[in-house]
Amino acid sequence: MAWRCVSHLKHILRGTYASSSRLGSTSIDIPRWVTYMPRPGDGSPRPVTLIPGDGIGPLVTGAVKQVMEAMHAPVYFETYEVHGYMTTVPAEVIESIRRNNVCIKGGLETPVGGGVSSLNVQLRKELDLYASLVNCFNLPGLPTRHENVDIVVIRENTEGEYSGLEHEVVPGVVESLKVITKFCSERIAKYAFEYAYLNNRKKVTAVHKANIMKLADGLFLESCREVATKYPGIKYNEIIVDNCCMQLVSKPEQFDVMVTPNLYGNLVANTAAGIAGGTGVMPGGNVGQDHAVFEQGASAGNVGNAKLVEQKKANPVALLLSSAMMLRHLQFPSFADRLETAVKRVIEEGKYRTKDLGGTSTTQEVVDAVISRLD
Amino acid sequence: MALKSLFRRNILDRISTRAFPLPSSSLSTAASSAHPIRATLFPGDGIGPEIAESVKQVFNAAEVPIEWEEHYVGDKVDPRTESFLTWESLESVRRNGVGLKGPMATPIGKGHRSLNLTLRKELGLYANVRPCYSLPGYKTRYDDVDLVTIRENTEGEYSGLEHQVVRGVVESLKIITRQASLRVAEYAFHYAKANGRKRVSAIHKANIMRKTDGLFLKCCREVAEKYPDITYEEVIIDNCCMLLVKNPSLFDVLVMPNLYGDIISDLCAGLIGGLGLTPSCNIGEGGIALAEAVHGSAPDIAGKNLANPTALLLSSVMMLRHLQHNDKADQIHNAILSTIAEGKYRTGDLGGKSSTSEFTKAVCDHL
Repeated sequence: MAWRCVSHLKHILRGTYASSSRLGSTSIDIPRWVTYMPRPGDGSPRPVTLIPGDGIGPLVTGAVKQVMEAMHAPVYFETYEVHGYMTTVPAEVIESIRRNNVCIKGGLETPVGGGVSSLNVQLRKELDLYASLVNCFNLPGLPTRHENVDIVVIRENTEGEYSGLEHEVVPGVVESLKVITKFCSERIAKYAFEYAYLNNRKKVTAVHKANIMKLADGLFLESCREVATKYPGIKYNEIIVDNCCMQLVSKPEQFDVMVTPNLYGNLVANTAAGIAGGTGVMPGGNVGQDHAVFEQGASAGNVGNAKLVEQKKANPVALLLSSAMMLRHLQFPSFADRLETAVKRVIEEGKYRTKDLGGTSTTQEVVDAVISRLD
Repeated sequence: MALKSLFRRNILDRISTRAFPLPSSSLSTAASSAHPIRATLFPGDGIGPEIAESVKQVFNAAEVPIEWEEHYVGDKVDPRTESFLTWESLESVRRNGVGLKGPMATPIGKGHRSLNLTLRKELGLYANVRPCYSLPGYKTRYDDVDLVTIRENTEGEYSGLEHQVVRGVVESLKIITRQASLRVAEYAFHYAKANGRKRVSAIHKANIMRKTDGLFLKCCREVAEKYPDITYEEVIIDNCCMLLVKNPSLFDVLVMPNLYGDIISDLCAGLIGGLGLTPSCNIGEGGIALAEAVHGSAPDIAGKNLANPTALLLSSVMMLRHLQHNDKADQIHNAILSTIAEGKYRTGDLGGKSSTSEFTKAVCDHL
């Protein structure tokens, strides 16, 4: 466990900061004039809640643990078993996340049509993680059908079609409510524009179906437009969801940041992940005011098949990149950079890739390769 | 209020099923080739008349025994349909059982219904069928697409039932009924069987919308049992999107509720090169079929002889198939494909320089 080697860690930390302050000491040619200046005590290890989850979950979260340990990242894990068949997320897990503010998790299986509701959704609602973020980009060295994809899908995570309000009106007629509120639409729009502003993104695209759902999606658009006026430096446009999917598969380079209601975001993120290399490599997370849960970017409920688990060949790249996001969220930018660089190197070299990327490697082989590429 | 209109609709639906019972034989109109086909033609707006002319020429050259009844969108609202479409036009489609429709632009303004919505509601067009296949010789990023999307067209998210609960909180109703779900599932399997397809995938999000999409799935399963030789599978919509863009050859026939169908069918059109190449056909109660080009009316190139008639031509082929004039359908279909594959006569949208009439002539020559 990482926390056992705190003294060792401090030593290494000192080394890292010292070396990064020297000019041009890293593999990047640009000399670092300004370094990250942590507050005293920022190097103390932080607790992170870890939910291995179902299916391939334990495999990929195991990968994260190994890599974190290998680079002596200042985090340690509080592990909790949660499984898709449980009716609710255990209280101690929620408590742990509330305490630690940060969680990393594998997928939780969602049974189709059963009596239980999705735990992935429950966790988001319970902790009010209102924004889901998926970053879809081409990884250098990984051939895909589309190039120049660099899309961030920001999805409203708490209402819309996922309200869970459904009932049978008369036998054979079922109604489902899609709820859109001004409050939630506004805060997701604000988050999207703020994200674009902080990450030097140039354009925000709102995805909707307001030509059919005039009131509901109309309210969403209205909120986006209002927020857009406060960010004159960022371009704002709107696109209908069906056209959006068509454009994504033909001209994905036109998109930058996308902001969407719940269900459309789910579809758009998966489509975007598909064109950029698959859900196995796209990082993502769910963020609320106080807490953040990091998971595989798209398809949280898709935990892989039994064969993949048995052969131990799940792709750990998505969750490794998500944990780099987590490190950055915890304000450990240089650890995040190191992890990201190592993962990207492994992908670029192309020797160790799992089946979904056209290789034959096991999860462990990829992890070992990543560890060996850590600088 | 929502409840009341629902009940009303349910009753209406029940009446219409009584009027048009739905044994599988009524799903397609059988026609003997001795009598000429009578079909309604809506040339539509913008580039519509040009591409409709192109279809007429090709049908002439192929000697398809057909009589077109041409109907144009009126210039004032017909009170009987609350739309610019006249009652006579709709009557014509009902009488003939088949129709072909070019792109229509709904004039902006209040007090009338959208043209497409009028057709859909008045003719009870419950299924939208769109075959998507890579055109040989026209290179896109995907060259292994061969699938059919079948979309439920009457209910779901498009119910139009919305209201403001309190200020700043809006609700929109998604309605799924057993009757409409069974009907579209029935058609999907019928289509798969009639066209030699092996697999039907139901697309859903029942892990989140357990009751509504759950009902849709239940209906699909019931129908699937009647077709043991067709493989049936269920795919969650987000996974479906991902698989489609990674490997579209995994899919064969897809059947889905309204919104998902809208999104997936456009996504598939994107895979093969856009709406200008995608045929579409709407199936209504009592075997009515209205084939249509789903692209826009492109007013910027209207009348310039530049439009690509492929979508409407392929749609007309679907109409012929629906009437079981398979020989003529194959003949025209092959002529279109070989014209595009040859690459000598392509319109501007496919990177060529040909005019509509040159392209049409080339298709006629390839017959």
